[in-house]
Amino acid sequence: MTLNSKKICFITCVNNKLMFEECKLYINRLHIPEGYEIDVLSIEEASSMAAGYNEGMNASDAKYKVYLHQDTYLVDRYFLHEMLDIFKSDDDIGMIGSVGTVKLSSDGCMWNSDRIWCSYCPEVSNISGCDEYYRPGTYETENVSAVDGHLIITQYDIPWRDDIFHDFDFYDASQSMEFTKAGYNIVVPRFDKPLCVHDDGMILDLINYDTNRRIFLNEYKDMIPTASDMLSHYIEKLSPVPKLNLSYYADDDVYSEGDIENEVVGLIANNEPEDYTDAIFDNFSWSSFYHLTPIRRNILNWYPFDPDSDILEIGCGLGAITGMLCDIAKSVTCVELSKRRATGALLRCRHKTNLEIIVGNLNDIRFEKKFDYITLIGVLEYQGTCTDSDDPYTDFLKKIRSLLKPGGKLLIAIENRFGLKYWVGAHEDHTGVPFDGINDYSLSKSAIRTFSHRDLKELVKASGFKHSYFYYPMPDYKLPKVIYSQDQTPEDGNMHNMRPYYIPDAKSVIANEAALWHDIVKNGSFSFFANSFLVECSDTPVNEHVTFAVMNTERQKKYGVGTRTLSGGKVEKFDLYTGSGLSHLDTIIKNEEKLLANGVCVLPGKRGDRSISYDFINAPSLDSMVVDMIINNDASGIEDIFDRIYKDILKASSVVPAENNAILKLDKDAPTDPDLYGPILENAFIDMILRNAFMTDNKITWIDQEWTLENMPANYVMFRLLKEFGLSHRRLNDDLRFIYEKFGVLSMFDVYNRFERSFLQTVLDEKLLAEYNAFVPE
Amino acid sequence: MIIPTHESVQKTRQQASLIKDQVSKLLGQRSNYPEIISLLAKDDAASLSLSDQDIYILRIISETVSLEMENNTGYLLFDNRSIEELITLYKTLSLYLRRIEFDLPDDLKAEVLDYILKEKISVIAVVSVIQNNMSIVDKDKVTDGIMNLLESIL
Repeated sequence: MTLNSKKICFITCVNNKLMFEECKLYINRLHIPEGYEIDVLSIEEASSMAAGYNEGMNASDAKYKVYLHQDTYLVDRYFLHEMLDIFKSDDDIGMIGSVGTVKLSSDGCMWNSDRIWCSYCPEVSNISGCDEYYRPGTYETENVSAVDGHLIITQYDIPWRDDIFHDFDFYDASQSMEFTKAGYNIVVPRFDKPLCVHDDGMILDLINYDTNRRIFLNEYKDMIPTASDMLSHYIEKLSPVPKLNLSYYADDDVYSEGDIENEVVGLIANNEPEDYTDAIFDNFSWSSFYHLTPIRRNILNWYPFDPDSDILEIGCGLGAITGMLCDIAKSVTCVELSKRRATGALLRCRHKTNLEIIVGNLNDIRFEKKFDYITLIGVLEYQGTCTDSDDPYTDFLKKIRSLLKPGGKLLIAIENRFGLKYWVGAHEDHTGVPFDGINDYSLSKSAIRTFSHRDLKELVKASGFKHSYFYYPMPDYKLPKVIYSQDQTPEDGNMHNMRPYYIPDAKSVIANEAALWHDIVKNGSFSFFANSFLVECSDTPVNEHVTFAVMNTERQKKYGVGTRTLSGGKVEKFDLYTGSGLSHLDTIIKNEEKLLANGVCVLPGKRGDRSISYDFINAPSLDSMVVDMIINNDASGIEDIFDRIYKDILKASSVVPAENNAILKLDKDAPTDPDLYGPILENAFIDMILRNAFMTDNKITWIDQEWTLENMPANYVMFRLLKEFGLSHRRLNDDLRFIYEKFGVLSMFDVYNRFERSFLQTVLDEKLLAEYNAFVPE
Repeated sequence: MIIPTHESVQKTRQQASLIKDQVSKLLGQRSNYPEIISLLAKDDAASLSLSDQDIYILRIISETVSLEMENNTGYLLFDNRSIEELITLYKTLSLYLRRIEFDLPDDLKAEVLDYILKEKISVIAVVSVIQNNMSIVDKDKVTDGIMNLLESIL
């Protein structure tokens, strides 16, 4: 058929007439270039997109063909002029799209590739008045390898592959490959205005997507980048600052989770470093969460590294903690067996100026310097397969010890072979077999192994280290929220509301781990059953340790602080994210000053570089005092303490008129009787909870006052105090019912709880919390 | 994006179908609306809404009806409509509202108003669709536009 070079044909596969009629409204208002005519073909009941487009292509003699979805609305009224200008500028341009990718992901999926686009959507633009102007002339375009099928414009006819694509997926990527094979270029215009809106409803029918994807990958295997190509592409695109040292790389990634790592590397490459919450949310899986969540940093973000130190990170993986180490030390050297993982870490730390990543086996590497710290997080257990020796674990640790400077420390994190989670039936983390570690791996016969507390201590000693100090990250070292130590074990089984979790699932779990912790702690067996260990190994004695730490990682970064205690009893609040939480630390200091000015007894903190430190208080906390009083049935003692707390709450702030009550302004369902609320405080110090108070010389001394809220009922502060106590000591909650009633909290509980949820929404990172809760259920 | 397998999509469809059947049975009586709202607010529906378009739309409609009920709106979106009709209404309204966003001719914009009046769609429902529809980008423009149209008939 001779093609008419003055004709443009719109071809649409239609199964929804309403949508198509709407689509035609936009086509009908396009400016038609002088001398040209347009035609609109709808193909109904097409068996597949490729078949439908072939039918339309063959039915029209138009040289220029616009293939568009029925839910694509052409909002740029000069669209036809612009397309013709682009095609006429270069005969080699065969295809134009509005969304395309320069480098198609090795899994063939356009969504996993870098995309450029001039479609109208929230991510790209907020432009209205799309047809404001037409500028005839040369347009900047970007060559792409594939375009999305919602809008494809061609100036040559090449058959669509209806022989292999029988559904509604991958016809577009396939056609892009066919045009490339025919020697044509594919472009996406670099417009500052959108061409179209694609209203696909955001959620697609992907029932046959994977099947077609495999057909596509097989058909075009020589044209699609390999995973290795993608890594090179990312490096070229992002130009990371740190050095990737491949001189020890054996060209074989012996440890891998599989292709899922490519996806995670893609997420790292396509997002700003450490800003992954949205990426995890949109690409939700254990792998994306595990590798990218900031909660991973909790294994060491509380540890007092010397800022002038050199750190060796053995087995950096995809860089979960590497960036943090770079921020707190003078230099970081990473060793990673897998080039793919090392590249992920490199891209993640692409702006760091003090990092080198060496790809290879530690045993093969010659280091030019020694280190102040060496970290071995989730690595030791694999030495049965990685270190060629009769005693691989001891020899591996000996080798590491030789890399330490005098006074240097090794930090080992590993699961406890006898961790309580395994006793209740959780899958062993490496072999996936329940009860495997407890049975000395006789069930899986795996060469990977973890150790008991005693065995690990002896291994460290046999490696030559004179001193070891045990930490117990809970629920485990991978997603720790609280860190105990050999000098500070839990007081009860609650462990700061610690929740266990099980990957891949809890199907093999036969007992309630959370409930069992109470008796284990009470019987002094915590260290035997702790789920993980973090061991600090050194040749020289360490005078001061952090003995306890708890991290508030689920908060927005600007409120991200942790609390740690040091040997000697000193307490510190510290910034979790190397900078983001500093202004929140300043707020805490200001709150303390306000309380002191109002005559409330406060232990003042000393502001340091990234922390606030508090002197040791040799006094029981009100929390432990109330627990003791409940156990001893001392109701009058309890009432006395709460009366005194209430006096301090009132003392902390001036009172404002009842009509200023913030709860009434925000909650239209809240009762309006002012007597229900008690005095309304101009500046309520809502962190006046039992854990933040101590009895010193018969006076209540407060610490850690992070939050104030304006115009809040004094009884709301009591609510928070009682709720926090109740969450930490569920078994004792009923014993304080009379206090709930005395301060009007019982009748107003739902009202205060609603407000509390609203308040928490302003503090927490809701997406991060949702991601965490998906794997660590409440 | 995590690429779903054929089996996982089928499973999602089955789960979504169960919820839609439950909703279908409850539609038709106003006394059942709180139960529908509660059903669609649950975690499993929320989770399914990430991968099933109908559940996604039904959740938006359900939250809208909840608002309508709180505000004592006379005619509620759920009234006298099946699930298919509800989804069609949502999609049709979304299409029409786009005419305002992209300044289509006045006669076409007037059809938007005609549709809203004919279908007895409350202002709350219109605003809800504007706010929840991801492909309506300039939400302020569309909201102002539709309010102007509604005011023109008062």
